[in-house]
Amino acid sequence: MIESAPAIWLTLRLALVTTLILFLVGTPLAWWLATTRARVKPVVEAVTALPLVLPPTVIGFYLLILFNPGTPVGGAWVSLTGDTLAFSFAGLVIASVIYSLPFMVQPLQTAFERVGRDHLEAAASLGAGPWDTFRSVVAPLSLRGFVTAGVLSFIHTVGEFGVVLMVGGNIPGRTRVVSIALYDHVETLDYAAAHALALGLIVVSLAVLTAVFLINRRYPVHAG
Amino acid sequence: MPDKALDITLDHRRGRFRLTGTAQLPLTGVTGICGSSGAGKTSLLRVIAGFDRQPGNRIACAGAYWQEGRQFLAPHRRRTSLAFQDTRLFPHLTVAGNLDFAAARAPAGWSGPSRNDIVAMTGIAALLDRPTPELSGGERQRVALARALVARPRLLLLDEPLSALDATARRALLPALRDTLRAAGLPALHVSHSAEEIVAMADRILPIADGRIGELRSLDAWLAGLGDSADGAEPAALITGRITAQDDALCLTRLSVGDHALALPGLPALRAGTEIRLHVLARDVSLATGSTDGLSIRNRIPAQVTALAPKPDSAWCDVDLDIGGQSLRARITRAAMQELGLTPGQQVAALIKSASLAPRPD
Repeated sequence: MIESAPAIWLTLRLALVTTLILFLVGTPLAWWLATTRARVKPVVEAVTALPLVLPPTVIGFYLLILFNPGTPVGGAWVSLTGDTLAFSFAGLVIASVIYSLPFMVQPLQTAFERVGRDHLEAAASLGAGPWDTFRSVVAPLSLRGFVTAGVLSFIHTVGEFGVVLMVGGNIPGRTRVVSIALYDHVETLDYAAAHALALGLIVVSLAVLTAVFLINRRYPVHAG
Repeated sequence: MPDKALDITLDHRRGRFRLTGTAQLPLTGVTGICGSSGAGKTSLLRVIAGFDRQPGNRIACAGAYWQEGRQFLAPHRRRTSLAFQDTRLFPHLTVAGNLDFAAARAPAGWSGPSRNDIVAMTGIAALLDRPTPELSGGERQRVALARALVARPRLLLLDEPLSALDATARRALLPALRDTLRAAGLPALHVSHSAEEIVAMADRILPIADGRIGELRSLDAWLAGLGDSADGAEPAALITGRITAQDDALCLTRLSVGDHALALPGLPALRAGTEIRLHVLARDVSLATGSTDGLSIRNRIPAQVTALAPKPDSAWCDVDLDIGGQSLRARITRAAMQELGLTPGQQVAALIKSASLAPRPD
């Protein structure tokens, strides 16, 4: 178990950073999708949902190409930080954000749509501007959506494999997350260590999901 | 355009629904907006509140455009609080929390009633700590009305605000609301399908029928036209009186109407001195030319016949009456008119059963 500690720590760090960034990126995107009447909405929805249907290796492959220092994005990153995006923690975070995007956006969009226009109109009629309304009406009414979106994004990031392998490789302490370490243990026929990691992941995921369903039952949705 | 008016020009299309016409509504007192359901009453309020941004509409408030071409003032800057028929209370807040939400965004410097006055007037003091999802329909509408007032609007929009209250509670609340609005100098647009409710509140009427805005009329002119129009409204009159006493033993509220006294089934919630308006249907008024001894009808008012309007091809004759400066209307049969030999200028007694003055369900 001690030898797995760096992988576990790295995984938790990656999932946490990814989830935080997803809250920042996903909330405005979900709000826009929930309220817009723009014609491009279905296109944006489809792009957001794409990571659900594509093999992770497809996303990993194109991200790997994008992260190459020869491309504008990869080159800019190297000149800014002196490090490459590929095979780095930052690269893993970017890949995880893209890969877990639908797990953040879809629960939030559903929650925002449930709040409904009626309460937005009521808030506006009482003098609340758009940002005020979001903060004081939409966010509290969408609390369950935020919990669900955060937990799903976190767990999904913990469980990813293909994208990480493509973009990050298998560098101990740098890009070797739990799922990669597990694969490693199986390759080297170290089944005891593999069991420890695999069972650990199952137990933790089950516990977190149970907690979410408990919370959701305790605090039923208000809107309706 | 006058300084204090809301100018409305609508060319509003949504699917197959249309609402067109113009109106200039004075920003004083209460303007009743009436019409059958689906006529477009709520749509008009929504356009004024800024919730419906159809390109053909033009709205100006006291000379400043709220909507004109590409110009559009956001709803939260218009200060038109709307008491929604479906209340739209915030479910994550208590009753007090909903009022706080409005109070926190209300402008400073307002001569209107305090929050405590509003809570007392709407009768929600006992509800303040309750979560809003637990309230009954009538309670929710009271809170929605209080919340709209606490927001200190410059124009109050009322969309069937008391439709979920029972008739007695509504009759007690309407005069109190009218008093509050008058004391605050707060103009209101009041949508209702109930003639009784309109009469209790409005100073003037804007009829809407079949997606067209009609002509703004004074309350008296509108009442005089009732029954002649095709909208199915019954002929009726408005009597304004002041409460003189509450007779608790007999459960009657006594009222002075000019020099005359009226009694109606008790409205114990209202204080003596409160002005109330009674919507009296013409069919509930009888006439007597001789002695009225031995009748059970308590309300007997001396009246002068001002006009007779027999309806050809029907049994009816509508009689306009003057009772000390106020007008009343009676619908009697043409046979009765002939037998009594009624003529304009004649003195008669107008009889109104107290029971017909009881609050009516819609």
